[in-house]
Amino acid sequence: MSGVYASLEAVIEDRLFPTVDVRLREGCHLCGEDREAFAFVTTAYPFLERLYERYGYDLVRAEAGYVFLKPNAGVRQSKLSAACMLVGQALASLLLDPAIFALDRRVSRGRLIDTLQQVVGEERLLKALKLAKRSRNASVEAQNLRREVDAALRVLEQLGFVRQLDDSIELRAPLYRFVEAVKGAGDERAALDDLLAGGPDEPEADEEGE
Amino acid sequence: MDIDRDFARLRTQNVSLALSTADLCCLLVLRVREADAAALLERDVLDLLASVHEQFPEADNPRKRATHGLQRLREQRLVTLVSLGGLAREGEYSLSGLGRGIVDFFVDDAKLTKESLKVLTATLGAQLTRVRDEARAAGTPEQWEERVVVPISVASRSLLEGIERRTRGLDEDQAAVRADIARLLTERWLEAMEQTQGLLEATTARLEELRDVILEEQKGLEAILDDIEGLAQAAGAARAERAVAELVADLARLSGWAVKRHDEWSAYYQSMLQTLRSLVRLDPDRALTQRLRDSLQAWPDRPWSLVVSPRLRIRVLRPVEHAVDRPLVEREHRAEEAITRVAPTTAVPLEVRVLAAVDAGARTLTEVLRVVLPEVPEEARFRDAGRVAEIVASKTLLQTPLERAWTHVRDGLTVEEWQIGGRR
Repeated sequence: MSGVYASLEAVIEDRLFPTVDVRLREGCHLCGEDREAFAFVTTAYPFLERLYERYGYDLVRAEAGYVFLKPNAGVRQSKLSAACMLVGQALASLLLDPAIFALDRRVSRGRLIDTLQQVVGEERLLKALKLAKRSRNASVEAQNLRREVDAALRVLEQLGFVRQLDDSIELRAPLYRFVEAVKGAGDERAALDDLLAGGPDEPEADEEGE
Repeated sequence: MDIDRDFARLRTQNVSLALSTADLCCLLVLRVREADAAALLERDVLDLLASVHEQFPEADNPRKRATHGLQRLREQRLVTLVSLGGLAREGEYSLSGLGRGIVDFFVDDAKLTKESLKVLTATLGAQLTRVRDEARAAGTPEQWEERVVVPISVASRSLLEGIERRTRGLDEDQAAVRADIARLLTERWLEAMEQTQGLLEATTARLEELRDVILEEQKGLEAILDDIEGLAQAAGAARAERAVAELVADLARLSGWAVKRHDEWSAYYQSMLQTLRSLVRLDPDRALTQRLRDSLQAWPDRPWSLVVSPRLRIRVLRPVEHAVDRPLVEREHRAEEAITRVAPTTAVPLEVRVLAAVDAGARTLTEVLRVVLPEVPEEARFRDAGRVAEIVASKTLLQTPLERAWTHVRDGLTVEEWQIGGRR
């Protein structure tokens, strides 16, 4: 990868451009762990920002150290599913736990599910994931919950929020996006109202992770 | 515990302990070797103690000091003679519980400090120096084996393995430090920042010291080993060469470990500090954590979603291919059974023949069939058998039992047997 780009043409000529472009357009978030790709985007940011703007996308470079493409209103976009949102928020709250950092920013699936059950509540969690009426058997319910969480984790991994390891989940900087969403407003209700008023919802939007 | 009695006993026996730093280092080295052998031969013990005394500046005669040192350790019951040996066999020694306790008190077995590492590597160096002297004097293959190969393969490698064992203990220490940091931050996170930084710095400094000691000592040890290897090559002592090569590989592995651990911990230290600073700036009073939790608790009544770019579906245009004519897949029809049309039996009506047979005395359906069928053309017999049965059923009196037997009439024809009582 060349150091500084003189033009958009030079950016597109870079061997990393096709991979990075496809990943960004697929909704993937890139951060420091993606070393080459992230360095490429940050170096070529001024050119890439203008390029994607013409397609109706904002190339967002967050202070927490990650980049992603955000579709503007009127452009086809995807919304994260309820399961992805719940799992993502739970992981983001764990990311803010300094003790997790001391353990290499890794959490087990068990801890994630415990956090979800403790914070959301078991019944509400099953209701939110539309698992409430499927089974009355506790072990089957737990199995269904694990399956939903695993599916959500797979989507979050594809989008660059986490990396799944054999026995744990590595939390990555893009999870701060969930934090940013509730940051700024004085209280949570106002923050959510702002988000809803901001209206990411588009009727034709796909839902990820369904 | 009876304090008066124990006090009197200690005073009567005149029990005392007097240990110099050199004595403590001797105990440490014996403790390391003890992990590989339950007891040590007197000659090995004296060799080890001499190599320890060589590292002290006042050591004018290390061998003599080693003999006196061993005597001193025995008198203070720190080392025990476990086997007396005899004229032809040497005595064997092992550390007493007291000796082990003292070493473990001063040098935790699981930990590797700069001081203990220096003692261990210096002891290894002194041992190798003596082996080099022996290699210079060795003339026969037996002498090479006894004075060079065995000391390198057994004594020197066991010392090195002792160091490696402690490095594994150090790895466990690092995991414990991480767990301590996690605990501190969970309990009082802002107040724990300073302590966390202290723990990180202490471990980094310790790893840096160990790395420096290992790299520094490695050079000296490799120089001695090079000398021994050169002597072995000149003498054609292949086993000695191999033993040296193995020890060199072990040393390289040890120094590789030291450098890798130091680098990994430094990276962890930097990332941890950066992250903690970011967290302090981002969420000092944990308000964001609480907001995230509140947002989670609002589900499913107040859901919200992040928006991402939709999945990219690239349409790949392929070269045009003409459609291939594929035959229609259908099931193979079975050949229809050929139907043979049989002309009606008209010469003499069948009913007349059946009734004539009954009148002639046929009393079962089989008997009637055996009379009538031979008069019918061959191809019509099967069909007319049914018609005969129908005529018999309608025109005669049947006496049919509950259990009716099947009777063979002729080739290919078997019927259920009916008893006929006569015409109706």
